Amino acid sequence: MAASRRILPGFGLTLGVTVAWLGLIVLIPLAALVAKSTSLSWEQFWGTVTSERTLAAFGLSFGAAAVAALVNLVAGAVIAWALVRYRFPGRRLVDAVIDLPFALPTAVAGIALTTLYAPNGWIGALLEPLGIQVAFTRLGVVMALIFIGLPFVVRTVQPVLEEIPAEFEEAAASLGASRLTVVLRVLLPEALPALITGTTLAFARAVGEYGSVIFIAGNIQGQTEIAPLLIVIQLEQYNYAEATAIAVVMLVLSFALLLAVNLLQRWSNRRFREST
Amino acid sequence: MRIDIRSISKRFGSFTALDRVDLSIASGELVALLGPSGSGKTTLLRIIAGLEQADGGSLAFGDSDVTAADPRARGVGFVFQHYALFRHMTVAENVAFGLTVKPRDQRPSRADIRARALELLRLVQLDGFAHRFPHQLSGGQRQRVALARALAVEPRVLLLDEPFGALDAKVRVELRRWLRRLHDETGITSVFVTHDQEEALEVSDRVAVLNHGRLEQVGTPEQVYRHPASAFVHQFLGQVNVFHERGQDQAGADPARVALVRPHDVLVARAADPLCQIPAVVEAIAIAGPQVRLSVLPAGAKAAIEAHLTHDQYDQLALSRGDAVFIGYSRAKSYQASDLPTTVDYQI
Repeated sequence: MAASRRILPGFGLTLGVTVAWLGLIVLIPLAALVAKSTSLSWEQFWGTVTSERTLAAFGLSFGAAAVAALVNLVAGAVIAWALVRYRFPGRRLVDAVIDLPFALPTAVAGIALTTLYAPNGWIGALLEPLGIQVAFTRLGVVMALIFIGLPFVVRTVQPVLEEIPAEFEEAAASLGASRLTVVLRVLLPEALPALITGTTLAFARAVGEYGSVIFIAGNIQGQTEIAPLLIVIQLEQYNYAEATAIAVVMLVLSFALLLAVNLLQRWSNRRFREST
Repeated sequence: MRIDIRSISKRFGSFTALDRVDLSIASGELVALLGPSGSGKTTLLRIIAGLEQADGGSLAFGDSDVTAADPRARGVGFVFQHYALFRHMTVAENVAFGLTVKPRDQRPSRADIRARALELLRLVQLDGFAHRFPHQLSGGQRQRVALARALAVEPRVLLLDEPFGALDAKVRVELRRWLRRLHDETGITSVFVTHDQEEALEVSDRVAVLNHGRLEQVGTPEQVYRHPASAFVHQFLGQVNVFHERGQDQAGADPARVALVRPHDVLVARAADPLCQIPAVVEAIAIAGPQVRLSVLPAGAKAAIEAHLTHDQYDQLALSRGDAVFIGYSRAKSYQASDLPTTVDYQI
């Protein structure tokens, strides 16, 4: 590493802190988790994580998180664009509102969403005649995950859009490109790495979300029961090892997905290491 | 393609960027828009490209009025000061961009587009760079890619905003000579913006000098340099010394008038003669490449004036610091003192 001496000292120090910190804060608790799950025999472990109820919970947690992340990708990109490109009254207010899902206790968000979307709530009452039920369904789960994930996309994409020089669009227009072509072939590729990062963050956050979902989901076994809730239920029944088994599978799946996205990120980033 | 700019005006809030500018550019001409920053030169270029809309006046390419035309439909190639190359595309993809975004029925085949891009890269002497990305190129190379990209759509008019502004001195000189040759080969009507008088004089067929949104003078490099129409043009195109006329060499000199003299028109002599009558002292001597730059302080003056001599003249005079000399000038142009720009180089 330090074959040639660097001008700034501190490589050893900062790497040491990084490793120690990651170990203490992230890796040791996760290792304890894995260790605890090994108190089950392989058959017991496999039985727990492949039971119908567990598989349904995994499917809902990852599926709803993916749908919510994709919705946030589109909505977040549009909102970031509007905030960056246009000056309208109340822009600062809108900008501040974006961060609310970060700060609001998720249980509060869950209760508020449930009240709104319940069949007798303000919005729920309007949707009911159309045959759409949000609260206590999988749609409700997705709604809650969209709510908590939105700021991740907006806040990641916004600074990147701000950095794109107006000259790119002018250059493309003077070469005859239509507005749509400019968006698709000039702006989107510039914002792509940030869009991937933001969507990944929103997805990761949604997979682990608990507080807001349990209120709106209704928690019907095998239908609207998310994996984190299943873990809590197992804990409440003193099935610690089963709870950790489910947690370990979530951990592995999440890690594999994040790693895949990281590789995707590297590929999309490959082309612009330096800016002009 | 002939360009007719008629009475174009543009304001940004309370700032007047252009004030009724009239300029006609002949087909195949290479014209420089020269002026200090804030003179409106870039605004005028952007109005020609359609990237900015004029508040008043009209603009025509050939016989067609394009005052309100969309920039996409104008057929202009625009080269930006910082190139604005698409970072995620290779050099070849950048050059081909204008062709690939044509409507399907006008778009050449993939093979034709590729051939055209490679041909343009050859023209700008970048064959072999097709697969590089912009960040892997030097400033001068990026500039040439930007030029090739603008030329790919076969524009009727080529517009360049400070094309050499971001390059180092040596590359600038090479690239501007190369641009001149390229223009002679392609013959495309071109307008470029610059704040560098040397660049404008060396490259262009005609120079349009702008100041505070007004056109001060339009003419060949020789006209604007040797026969400036205003004190501003005289001062902006090269260094000047200001001589307040004191009547030694002109009967009935007017104290409200001043004479502007370029350093190479200042005469220096050991003894007073009919042309050199102002006593002065040599303050500094600098051998600056091909010329010798003297700083001489006339008796009673607050600031020194600058004289540029050839090495032969300097050898004949055998000057050294502190020597007493007499100075005068061979060519001068007089202006109202009130028209004098506030920043002048040397003054007595």
